[in-house]
Amino acid sequence: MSIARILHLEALIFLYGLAGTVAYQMLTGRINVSGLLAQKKKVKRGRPNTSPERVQLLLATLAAASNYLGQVARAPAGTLPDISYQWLYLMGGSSGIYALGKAWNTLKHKKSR
Amino acid sequence: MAQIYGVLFSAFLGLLGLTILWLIWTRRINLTDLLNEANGQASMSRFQLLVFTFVIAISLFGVTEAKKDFPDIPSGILTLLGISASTYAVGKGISYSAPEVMMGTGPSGDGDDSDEEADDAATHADDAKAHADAAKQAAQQAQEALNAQRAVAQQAADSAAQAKQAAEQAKVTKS
Repeated sequence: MSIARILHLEALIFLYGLAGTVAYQMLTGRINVSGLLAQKKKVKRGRPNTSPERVQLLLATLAAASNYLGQVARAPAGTLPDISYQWLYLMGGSSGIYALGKAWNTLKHKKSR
Repeated sequence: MAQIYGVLFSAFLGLLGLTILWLIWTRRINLTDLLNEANGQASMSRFQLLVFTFVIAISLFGVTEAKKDFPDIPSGILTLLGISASTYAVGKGISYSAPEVMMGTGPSGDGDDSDEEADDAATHADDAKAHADAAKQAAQQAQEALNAQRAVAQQAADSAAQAKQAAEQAKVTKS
């Protein structure tokens, strides 16, 4: 077995091992994901409120990630596909909504004090 | 000589990777707060950056393996990672510009304060109503117990009066 092959296997094991470990720990709760979709401190009858801007960012992120993985799987071997402008606009808009929502809530809190 | 360096380098990298994975599994490298902000809640922008990083890294690895050469990175990927990293940085900046909101030590800064106050008031009203119902029920039970006591006392008084009357009749009969 050549050194290149060994290095390839090492990188493969490390990369997929790390991704699998992180995914496993998130699913089993060892990596804390509580409050991922919740508004900060906002409590309605004992339950945290779900934040719409966080939900839409999560959906856009998962959609863009799965779409790109699909493009990579369909692309000719050895080429890294580009991301279309539509998806970039989507992610830019989604992230912008998230950041604006966060800024708005923070500004509103500062005013109310 | 190059062969020896290559073997040493690959052994070093392999040991490093396995050690990191092993330390993560044994929790000596603690990933619990990987997505957390300073207030202990998970951050959506951190999660997004994590997802994109893994997706791009795995794709890049697969393409490099197939091509046997490092491919050109399309500008779209760089833009996407830039958007994600910028969102994370902007979010962090907003959070740290008002630490009391992030840490939850002040009044809520997320959404309508009036809604939250109305919710709190409704919760308090529900609690008060439940307490009032319990107090009313207890008062009814106390009233019933008092009535029963009065009835028993009345019966005792009647019995005593009858006994007294009987005793007086017996006394008259004897005399």
